[in-house]
Amino acid sequence: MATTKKHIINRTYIVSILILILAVSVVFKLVNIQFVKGDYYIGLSEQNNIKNIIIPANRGSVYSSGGKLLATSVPKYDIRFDALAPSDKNFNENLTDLSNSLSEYYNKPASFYMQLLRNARESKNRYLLIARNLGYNDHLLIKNFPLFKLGSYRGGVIIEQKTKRDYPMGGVAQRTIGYERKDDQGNITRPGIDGAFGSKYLKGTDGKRLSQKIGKGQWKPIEDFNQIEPQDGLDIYTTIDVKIQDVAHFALLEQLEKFKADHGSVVVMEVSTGEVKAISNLGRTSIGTYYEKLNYAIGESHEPGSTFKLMGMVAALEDKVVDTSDVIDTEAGVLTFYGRNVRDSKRGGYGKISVAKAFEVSSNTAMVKLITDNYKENPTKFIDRLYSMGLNKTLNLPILGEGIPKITHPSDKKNWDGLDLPWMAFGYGISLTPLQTLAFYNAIANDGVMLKPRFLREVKDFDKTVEVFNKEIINPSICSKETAKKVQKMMQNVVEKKHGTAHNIYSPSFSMAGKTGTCQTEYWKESGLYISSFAGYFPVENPKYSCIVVIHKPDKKIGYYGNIVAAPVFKKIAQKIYSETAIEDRLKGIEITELESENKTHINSIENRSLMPNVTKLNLSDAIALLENLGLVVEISGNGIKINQSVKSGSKIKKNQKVILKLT
Amino acid sequence: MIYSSHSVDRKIHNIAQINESVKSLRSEFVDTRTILIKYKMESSVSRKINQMGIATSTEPPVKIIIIK
Repeated sequence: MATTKKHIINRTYIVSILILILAVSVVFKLVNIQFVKGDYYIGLSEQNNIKNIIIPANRGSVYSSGGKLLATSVPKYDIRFDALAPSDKNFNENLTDLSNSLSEYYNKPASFYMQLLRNARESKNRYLLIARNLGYNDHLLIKNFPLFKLGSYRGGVIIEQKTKRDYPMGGVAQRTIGYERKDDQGNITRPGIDGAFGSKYLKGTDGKRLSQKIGKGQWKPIEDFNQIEPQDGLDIYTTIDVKIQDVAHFALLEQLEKFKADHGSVVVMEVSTGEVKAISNLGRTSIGTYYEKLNYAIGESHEPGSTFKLMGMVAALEDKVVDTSDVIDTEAGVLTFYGRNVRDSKRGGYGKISVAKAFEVSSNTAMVKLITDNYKENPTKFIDRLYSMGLNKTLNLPILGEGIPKITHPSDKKNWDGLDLPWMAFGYGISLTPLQTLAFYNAIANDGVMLKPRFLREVKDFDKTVEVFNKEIINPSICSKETAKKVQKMMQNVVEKKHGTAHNIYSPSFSMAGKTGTCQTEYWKESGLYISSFAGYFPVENPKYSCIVVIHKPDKKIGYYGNIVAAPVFKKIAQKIYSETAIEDRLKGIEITELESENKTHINSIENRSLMPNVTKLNLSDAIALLENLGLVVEISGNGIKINQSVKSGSKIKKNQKVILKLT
Repeated sequence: MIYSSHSVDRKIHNIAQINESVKSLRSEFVDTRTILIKYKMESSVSRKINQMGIATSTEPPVKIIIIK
């Protein structure tokens, strides 16, 4: 017994010790995990379930001056197809219908889609791209196609949503409205207004919030302190006027297509404020269509040609070396400098003409003579005058990529030679961007006050104004008022007088003033390439808008002169604006007697409005107005002058009741 | 404690759903607005009425104001 008892006790001890060791090792491991490796594991779990979620700020929108949306951020949808998700039955049943729907939507043969979907199922493609960047309405349409409408599990449709920039105006003014884009290398391109003011106003600041993962891919905030609220970007209101922009865009497009030109631009600016009302830049594609390729008006510095004669003329008048009535001999239309010729576009020249007429007929020889005769001893005086008018400086625009003007100074011995001064007189050997040229013309129309072209009106936070932009004066007086008046008269004559180079756009009903330009370009590569331009303002009295049209490389066989290629665009814009502004005719002391109408056409003349009136004797427009004012829904059928009404006169009527007027 | 935690979860899911519909409504709004702007643009209106033989006037309207 004793031995057995001892034996049992011993065994119990062994078991207890074993259990103790087990317990101690469990406790050891627990302590080890909890305290020694604890931080590591807690970190690991937080990594998976807790993170700082970035709450993206909404980018602000870009509006036109009238409050129309030009650019805004909206969700866009990509639609993909998981070819393995649908069952065999669903797939085979719906394949034909789905292919038909897709083919109808995309205008491609149904067999193409049938093959595409079959192939995807065979190759086990679970991510077949169906459509990209769809708007909301289109995405809804595709989502309701056969098979797809069964949903993601049974139908296999995958819808991905991304926020993208959208332009409700489409391709109109796209380069100027602009965007901000990041490529795969992280390089950011920022053209246009959106790019220029993006980081300052539109972007906003992203918020941050510590959150914990919960079901369905959602995150719930852990603490309600220690977080940064996102601040949405501000909205910017531009100076672009949608109506003028529309006219400018299509007038330019029409002319580019007609002359098969390489590219062109048009800018409309308000004279008294410097606000850019419209800016359109169109470039040709390889198949002959046009789109907003580059911002030529801002970025492309080129030889201006004859439009630069204005600058030369202003300088000469301002220095009082000539006056408008002085006479110049155009010397049979040819002048020679260092063995190179300056020619007039009219063979044989214009004979002896006044300075003003030389400008109006755009005589190269007269302009060159005028400048060289007076400045050849001291070209620095002429160049300094141009510099003092700010022509050698950029406009310092917020939009990136402004072209740099080039006017060589005589002190720059390396680049200055004897040809510079005469060539400069008719716009060669120098370069300006269209917008820089326009700013100068605008200053002349504004009696010498040079304004900076502006694109922004104000910045708003919803309906609260944050910042307002006012006109910026670059130079309060680039020339005296008298000089401005003199050249204004010349520019008026360019259009008005029979001998003016742009008389072809003259209209007796409204006034325009400006200067044509036809200049050769890339003459070092091949001859026969031209830039046709027209810069000016309208109306002549109280100039409201200034405008420049530049068209590069029109087809020479169709036409290349500035007055033929570019000026009609200018006229179209001027005419549109003219025909939209009502002429006010104020009449004093006229007695108005109401005409007694034998027909009762006004709602106030109806005594009992719950009864149908007799409209058979009215004309149709009066009848519709009257019935609709009574709250009826009018439908018209047939042709003719006699009205038959479907509801008898005198019968009771209800709101929204349908009445058919049948014309015989 | 557990109840309120779950109720928070529920609210979060709710908010996410509403946000989603806000986004799609906004998208629908812009989409429709785009279509409207395109229809309303003078160039497209005149293109349509040109087929009917109506052109826009080249002369401005005259407003007669009577001063009493």
